[in-house]
Amino acid sequence: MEKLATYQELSEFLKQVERRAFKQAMFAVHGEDAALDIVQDSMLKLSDKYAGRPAEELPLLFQRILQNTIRDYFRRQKIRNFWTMPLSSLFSGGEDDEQDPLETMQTESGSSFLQDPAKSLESSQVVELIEAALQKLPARQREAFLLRYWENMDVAATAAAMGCSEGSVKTHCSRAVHGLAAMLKEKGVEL
Amino acid sequence: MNEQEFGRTLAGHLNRGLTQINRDALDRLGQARERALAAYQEPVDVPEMALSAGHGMLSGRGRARKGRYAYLLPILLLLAALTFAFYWQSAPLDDNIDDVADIDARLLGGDLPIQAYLDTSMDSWLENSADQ
Repeated sequence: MEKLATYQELSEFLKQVERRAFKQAMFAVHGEDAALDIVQDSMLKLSDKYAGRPAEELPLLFQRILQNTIRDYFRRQKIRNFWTMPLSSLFSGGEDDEQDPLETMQTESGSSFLQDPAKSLESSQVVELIEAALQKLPARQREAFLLRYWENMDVAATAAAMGCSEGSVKTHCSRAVHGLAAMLKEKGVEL
Repeated sequence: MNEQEFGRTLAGHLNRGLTQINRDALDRLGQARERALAAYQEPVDVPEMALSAGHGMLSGRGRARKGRYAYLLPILLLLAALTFAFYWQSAPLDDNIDDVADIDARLLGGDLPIQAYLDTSMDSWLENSADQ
């Protein structure tokens, strides 16, 4: 018989995963409040609906819930925008508010990390550039990349969490890596 | 650097970025975790749940999880009722079958040949014998 997750195991798991989950949500929705709401909803769903599952299933279940909650957020946003956009477009001046985080980020062409990447790897600026590049990736590519390399899931688990085929995961990951490499190279970051 | 190495290197940087999350967000994450853990219910075995549900012992943290399995109780009761009904219906039938089987066995095992019961002249002879 499978050993079910205890309160302590669930607590440890949530503590271990909460920051990465928050960042994942941030990369997707670009807002701290929305990201925190998404993480809280995901934790609640896991605890309420799936705490009776074995502890080793929690990472996959949580990722699945998290990705679905992010998708739900965008669905709600889409519906909200459907009603609010026509009204707001009447009053807006038509400027494009979309900003590229990589464009607005201060890279300081004379900074040390651009000249000496080995030293700059510790710099928080590199982290910020990587996070900004991740935000620019298409959602599915970012999702696949983060699950595979940040959450250390294998291809099969990633496919299960994303609800797609293993082939799709490989394709998304490959494209994500090439996209990230190109964006970081453009900013002068060589890993 | 291949894809795997690139991914792992980036993951290392992203992990470093986790230390840069602001204090307010961390506090709110902690509160979210506490709320989630408050919703945690100890998993219970179904038989135990059914018994406790029957005796009105649902309480506190176990209420929601046990309530999830509460639908099993009427199903179990229905199955028990169906089993009883089947047994009740089939029990007399079994008795009849036993009776018929007993009669057949006696007829076949008796000294009188079976054709005697089918022979009408035998009946009339018996009646005549009885009259005499």
